[in-house]
Amino acid sequence: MKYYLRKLLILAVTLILVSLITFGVFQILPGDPVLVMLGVDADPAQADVLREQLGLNAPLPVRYLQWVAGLLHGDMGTSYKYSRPVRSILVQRIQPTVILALLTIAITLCIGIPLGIRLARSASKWYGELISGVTQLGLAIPGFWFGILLVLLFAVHLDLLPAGGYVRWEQSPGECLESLIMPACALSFGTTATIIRYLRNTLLDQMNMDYVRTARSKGLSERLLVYRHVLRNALIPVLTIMAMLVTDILAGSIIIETVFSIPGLGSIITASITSRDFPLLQSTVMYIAALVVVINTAVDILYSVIDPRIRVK
Amino acid sequence: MILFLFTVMCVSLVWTPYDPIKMIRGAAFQPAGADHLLGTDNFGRDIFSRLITGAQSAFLVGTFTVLIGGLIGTALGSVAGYFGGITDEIIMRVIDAQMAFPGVLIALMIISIFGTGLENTIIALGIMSVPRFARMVRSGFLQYRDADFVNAAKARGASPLRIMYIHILPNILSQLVITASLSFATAILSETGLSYLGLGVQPPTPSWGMMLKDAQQYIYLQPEQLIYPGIMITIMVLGFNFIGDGLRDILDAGSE
Repeated sequence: MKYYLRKLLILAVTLILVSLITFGVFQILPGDPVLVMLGVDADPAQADVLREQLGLNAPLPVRYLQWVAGLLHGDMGTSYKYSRPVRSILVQRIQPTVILALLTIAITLCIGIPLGIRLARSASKWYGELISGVTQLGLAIPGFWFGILLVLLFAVHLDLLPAGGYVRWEQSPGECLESLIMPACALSFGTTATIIRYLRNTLLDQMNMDYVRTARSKGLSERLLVYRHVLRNALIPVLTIMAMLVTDILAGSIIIETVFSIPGLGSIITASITSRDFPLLQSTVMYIAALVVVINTAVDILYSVIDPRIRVK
Repeated sequence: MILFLFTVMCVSLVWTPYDPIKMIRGAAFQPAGADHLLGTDNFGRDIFSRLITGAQSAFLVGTFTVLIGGLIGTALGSVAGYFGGITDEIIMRVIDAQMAFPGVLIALMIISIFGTGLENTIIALGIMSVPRFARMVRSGFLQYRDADFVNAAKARGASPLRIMYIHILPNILSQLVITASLSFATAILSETGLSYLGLGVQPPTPSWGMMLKDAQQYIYLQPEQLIYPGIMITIMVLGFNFIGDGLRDILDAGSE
């Protein structure tokens, strides 16, 4: 019990730190958002009124607390550029990013785990070397470049998939997936490579352990050994890696969404940076960071549920 | 394997001093030919020269990012690892908080405030790389903190500063170099992404990421434009990855 409480406490502290960083970072900005909205030649009296309205005159700590209070209530302010509540913008944009992330995770796991196992078992055979080589490539190729190449192949030459844009799930699940499959592949190239290498290392470590030798001497078939015993132990660190990969997927989606013109959380960040739309930016960043922290903590807790030894440490 | 790419890498290095700066020309969209090795782009600039000059940006960004991230990260990590206790907790919490922001997000945030351009990109990416170094240095210091030679130094009255940097740090050096090499690779990839989004190095200074962005517009017209910068990036990143991995195999068998 104490273990979980401690984890939750760390979660809370980290979230607070994260919110401080997010808030603080955007307050250092040189430039007056009011002037941005009204134009540089605005009438100073008007500017002051607007400032008062937006609550920009209150001292910094107060504004921070106001912002946090708003966040907790789901009110994230109004976007400068779109003049709509930030909340409604974000709610709309969650869907593409989430589906994209889920797709990417699915691809990564479905391809990564089998290949990782294969690599661990037959590193010396020719296909082992091939897999190894491809993973190296996967780590070096810029994900979004791979995405563009995919577009070149499938959209321009073969005309099989759309070159960009997004169709909402409600409108047509089929087309929705169509529009996301290429970005998902682009994103998963890197993550799959990471998982394969990691799984291979972990599996090899496990193979050298005593219990494997025992099982072998008992006459256990190689296949049963790998799939039932070794894999289970190796899967735990893979969970940790998955948490890290979710972070990477979120980061990658910032660029990939821009490449494929997908209106998700990632692309809105880019857009709001260019348009200096700070309320939107602030809340989106906070949202994403909070998500990451929560996922990591969840994985940590899940970790200890699967492997009771960790709780006792 | 490593050696091959290492050589490619070094060749890349030699290219940079000898780059022709003939970036603006007249004829647009020329296919590859004797005059222009790889053709020209939409403004009539020679792609080959831009590729080479782009290597400069890549190297600059990579080197300085690693320097900044490495110095700050090492400083933080060593203090946290050596002194432990509350200092350690505080520093690590802040580092963890930073790690909560996925990858380039931190860099993006910094750029959104201070603006784009080469220097800001370097600073932003440098800060982004700090956690990696800090964690590694910290775990290294934790390892050696209670070693005999440290205690001996303390008994001779060495100041903490001296112990940290003259005694403990050299043991960490190999790990440091590995982390540096891999961070270099990540930095280049990130810079590419930033430039692609238009938030990194600004035109007319060429950067591979930016070249990719321009190329995407003309994908129907001249698709080859897309391929070259991408290949360059891949080669460079592969090179540094291999260096890092190779070093790791030599120096430190058995770690992650």
